Amino acid sequence: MRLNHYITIVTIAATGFSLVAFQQKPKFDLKTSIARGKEIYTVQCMSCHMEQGEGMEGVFPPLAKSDYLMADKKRSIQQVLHGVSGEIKVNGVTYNGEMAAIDLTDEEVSDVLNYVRNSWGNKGDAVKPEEAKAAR
Amino acid sequence: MASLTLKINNKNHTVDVDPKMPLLWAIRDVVGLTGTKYGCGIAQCGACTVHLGGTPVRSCSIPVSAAANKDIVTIEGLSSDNSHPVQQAWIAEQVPQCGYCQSGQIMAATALLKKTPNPTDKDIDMAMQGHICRCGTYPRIRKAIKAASQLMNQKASIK
Amino acid sequence: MKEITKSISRRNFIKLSSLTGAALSIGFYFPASGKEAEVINLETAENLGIELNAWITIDTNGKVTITNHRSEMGQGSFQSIPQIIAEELEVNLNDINIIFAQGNNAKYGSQITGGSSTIRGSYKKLLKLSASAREMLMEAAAKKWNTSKTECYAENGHVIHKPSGKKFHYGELVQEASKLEPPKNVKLKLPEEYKIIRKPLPRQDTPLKTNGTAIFGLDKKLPGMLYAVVERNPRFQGKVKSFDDTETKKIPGIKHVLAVKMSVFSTFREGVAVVADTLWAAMQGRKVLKVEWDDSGFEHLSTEQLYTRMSESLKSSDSLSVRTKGNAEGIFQKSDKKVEAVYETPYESHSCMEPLNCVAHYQDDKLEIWGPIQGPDWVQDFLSPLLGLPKEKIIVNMTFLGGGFGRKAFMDYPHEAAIISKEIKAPVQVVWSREDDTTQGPFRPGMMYQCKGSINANGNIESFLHRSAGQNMDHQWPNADKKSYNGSATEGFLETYFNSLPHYSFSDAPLDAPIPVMWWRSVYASTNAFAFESFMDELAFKAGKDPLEFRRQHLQESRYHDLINKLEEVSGWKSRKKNEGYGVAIAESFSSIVGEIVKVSKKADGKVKVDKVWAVMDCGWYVNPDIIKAQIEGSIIMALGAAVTHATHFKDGKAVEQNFNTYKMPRITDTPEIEVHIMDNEEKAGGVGEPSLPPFAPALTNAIFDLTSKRIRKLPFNLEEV
Repeated sequence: MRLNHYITIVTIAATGFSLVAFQQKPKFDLKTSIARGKEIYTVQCMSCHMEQGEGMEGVFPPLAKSDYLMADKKRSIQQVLHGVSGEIKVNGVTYNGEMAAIDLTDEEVSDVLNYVRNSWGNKGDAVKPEEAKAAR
Repeated sequence: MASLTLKINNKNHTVDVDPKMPLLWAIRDVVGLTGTKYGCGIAQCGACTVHLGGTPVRSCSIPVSAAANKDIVTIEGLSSDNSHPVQQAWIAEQVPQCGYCQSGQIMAATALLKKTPNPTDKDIDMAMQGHICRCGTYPRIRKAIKAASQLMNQKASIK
Repeated sequence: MKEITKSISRRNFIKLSSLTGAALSIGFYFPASGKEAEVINLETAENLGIELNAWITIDTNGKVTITNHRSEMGQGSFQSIPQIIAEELEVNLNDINIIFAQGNNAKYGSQITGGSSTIRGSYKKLLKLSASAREMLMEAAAKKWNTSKTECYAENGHVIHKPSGKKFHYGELVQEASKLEPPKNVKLKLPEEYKIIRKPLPRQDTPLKTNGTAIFGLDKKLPGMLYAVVERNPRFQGKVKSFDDTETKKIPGIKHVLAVKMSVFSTFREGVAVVADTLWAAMQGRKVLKVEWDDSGFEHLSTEQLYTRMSESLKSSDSLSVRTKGNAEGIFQKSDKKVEAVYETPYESHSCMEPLNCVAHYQDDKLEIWGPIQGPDWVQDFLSPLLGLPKEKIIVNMTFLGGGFGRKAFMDYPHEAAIISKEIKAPVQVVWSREDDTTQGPFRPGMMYQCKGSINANGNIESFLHRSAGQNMDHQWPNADKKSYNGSATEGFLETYFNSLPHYSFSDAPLDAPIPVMWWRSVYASTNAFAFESFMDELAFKAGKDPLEFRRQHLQESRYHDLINKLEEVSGWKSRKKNEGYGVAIAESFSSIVGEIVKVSKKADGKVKVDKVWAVMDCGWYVNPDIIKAQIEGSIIMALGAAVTHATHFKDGKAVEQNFNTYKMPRITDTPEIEVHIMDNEEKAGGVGEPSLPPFAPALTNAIFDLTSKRIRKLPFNLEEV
C-alpha cells in the first residue's frame, strides 16, 4: 500500500510547504551545459558535421576551428533556431547547402552551442538560455 | 549533368546525373540498389545511412558529386548472404518488424563496432540515437549490437 | 516478385501462376453471410462457378504454397500464418512458400490488415483448412496402399503406414488427393500437442530485411516508369486556383505538370503533380513551381480553436448517449465523495518510416497498382466507382510495408497515382516527401474527455460518467449520419466493468472540423484509455485504496484477476521502494486485455525518468510468443512517443510539424527496459498488433503521480518539465 506515502505528501502540501520550492532552476554552469550539449550534438548535428566537427569539405561546413562559427554568436543561435540556406563562406570554402531548423528548448540551444563553441580547439564565451529565448 | 564514377561495394558505376542530386537517389534510382532507404531527407532519421570512406553518412544530405571516386558501402555490400556478424546478430535477435529502417540501423551498428569492438550501453546509445525506428525495435537493436560484438570477438580469436 | 526471389535462402516466395504440374489446391468458400466458411477443392469451386482462392497448394514435389491474403507491415503475418498451417498440415516450415494475394475479396474474404485481425479473424479457418488437406493426403495414401486411413499418420510432409513403416511424401499423393472431397469434419490438435504453434520461431522475412532485398513500395520499379511528386494545398479541402510551371519545365527531365484532385472521404485534396524521369528532377521541379491556392469555403482552424470547441461541447448538455446503466448523473450529484477531471490527447501523424508512395499503370481501361497497401480489396472497392472501372479491371499488388499503423489502409494515395498514370498514359510512381506525409493527414483525432465519478461508503465506484469530445472518423464519409454517436467511444474500457459498475453513462459530443482524421494504431482506444485509466487511478486515490487493489475489487471475472495477479507478481508492486513511482493501467481492445505497470524514478538532476515497463498480455489463443513480444515492445515505444515526444498542431488551417526535426520520434535513448509476459489460457484469439498501446500512457502518468503527486491530464507532456 502506498497510501501512507500519499497522505504524507498531501499533508506537506496542506501545511504550506510549496513543492515548487524543490524545483528551483539550478544555476547556469558552462561545464555541465557543454556535457549536455554533447548528447544533443550526437543526435542532431553529428551525422553531417561529423564527430570531430570536421564536416565534409564543400558539403557540410566544419565547426572545428571555424572562422564563420566563432565570428558571430547571435548568428549561430539564429541558425540553430531557424535553419540555414544560401551561400556561406567557411575557412575560405564556399558552401551552399540547407540545414533544417532544429526544434530545441532554450536550454538545449544553449547547451549544443556551448558544446560546439568549446570543442575541437574552439573556445567561446557561454551561450545562456536567455539568449536563445531572446532570439526566438 | 555530369559524368561521375561511384565506387559502390567495390564496383565502379559511371552515372550521368545532376551533381547536386543527393547520393541517396543516385544509389537507389540510378544505380538501382534499393536497400538504402529514404526516410526524411534532412539527416534526422538515419534510414539512408551508408559508409563513405568508412564513415557512416546520411546519403540523403550529401550531393553525389561529393561521393565520387570514394569508397561507398551500402547494405548490399555488407554481405548478400547475411553472413556479416551484424546481420547474423540482427537475425538471431529478431530485430526487424517492418524492416524499413533496418538497413540504416545495421550500417550504423557496423561502423560503431568497427571503431568500438566492445561498446558500452552508452556507446550504443550515442551511436544509434540518430536512427529512428517507428516500429520500436530499439530494445532488440541494443541486444543485437552486443551479440554482434561477441560474434566478432569470437571470430577474431579463432583467427 | 522477381526481385526478392533470387536472394531467399530458406523459403521461396513465388508466384502461384508459376506452379506447374498437377497439384492439390484447396481453399475456402464463403457462403451467404453468417455461415461458416467451407473448405473446398478445385472441382467444387468449378461446380459453384467461383474461382478457387487456393489458400494452400501442394505440388508434385511436395512444396507447399500459401497465399497470404493480408499484408506484412511488420506485424508478422508472413511467419504466423505459415506456423498455423504447418502445424495441422504436418509439414516442415521450411517447405512452405508464402506469396502475397492480389486484392480480391470475393475470392479471399476481407483482406484489410486492420483491427489486429490477421490471426484472430482467420486462425480457426486456417487450422481446419490445413487439417483437411492432411486428411485428404492420408486418405489418398490409404487408397494407394489399399488400407484404412486409421492405419496411417502424417509427419514432416509424409504419410506413413504404421504397421509396415512404408511412406509416401506429399508430392506423390497430390494427384490422388485432389480428386477427393474435403472431409466435413476434422479433429484439431489440442494446444498441448502443438509442435510449431506457440514456439518463438524466427520470422522468415527477417533475412530479406537485413540485406536490403525486401521490396517495399518505394523500391518497386517498372520499365519506363516515371516519378511524380505533388505540391498539395497545405490546407485540407483547399483547391488549386492556378499554377505557373515556367521555371519547372526548364529543369531537365521534367515530363508533365498537371493539376490533380484526389478523394479524401467526402471531400477532395487538390494539388499539382510534377512528373519527371527521375525522382530528384521531379522534386527540383516542384521546388520552383508556383501555385495559387483557393482556400475559400472552409474554416482555417488552429489547435487552440479545436480544443476550445471540444471544451465547450463537454460543458454543454448537448451530447449523444452511447451506453448507460442506472442513474449515473443523479447518483453523482448526490454523492459527497466525488471526483471530476478533464483529459486531453493530441492529434498525431502516423509517420510510417516508409513515406506514402504508390506505383500505378493505367492502360487500355485496366489499372494495375503496386504499393505498400493495408487493404488491397478496399483500394479496388474505392477506386472502381471513382474511375468507372469494374473491380476486376483493377489489379492491386501488395509489397512489403515500411510501417502501416492504419495510414496505409486509406485509399487516397493509390487514387492519386491512378489518376496521374491515366492522365500521362505511362506507369508512374508517386512519392510523398516526409513533409507531405507528416502534414497532409489523415491524423489521429485530438480528443478531450470529461470524467466524473463517485465512491460509496465501501470504497467502491457507485457512478462513472464519461463524455468524449472530438472528431468522429465515420462522420467524414459521404452521406454519413452526423447524429450517430461514436461506435468506438468505449473502446479500451474493460468489458467486465460494465457488469461491476452499478451506474454509468458514456456519451459523445462529436466535433465537426475540416481536419481529415483516421485510424492510428489502436484507434480510439489509444486515446480513450488515457482518460479511463487515469480516472480509475483518481477514483482509487479518492477511495483511499491502492490502485491495483482498487481495480481488482471491481473486476468480477477470473480472467481479469489472473492478469492482475500476474502484473502484481512480476513487477514487485508490493515491495517497491519509496523513491520509485509505480503506475498501473489495464485496457481491453481488439478482444485482448493488456495490463502495464510503469516504474519511474528521479535522475540526479531531479528530472523524472522511465525505468521499466512490465506488460502482461492476455490475447487468448496465440501463435508465436516472440512476435507478440516484439509487437508489445513496439506498441509501448509508439505510445511513449505520443505521450511525451510528439504531437501535430495546426495553425491557420495547416499542420505545423513537418518533419522529424519538429515531430520528434522516441529514440533509443528514450527507451525503457520492457518485460513482457503472455497469459496462457484457451480463450479465443485476440489481437496482438494494437492492444498493448493504450495502457502505456495512463500507466506512465499514474506512476508519475505516485512519485510526485502531480497529475498529468494533458498529452503530450515534457518529461523534462515534470
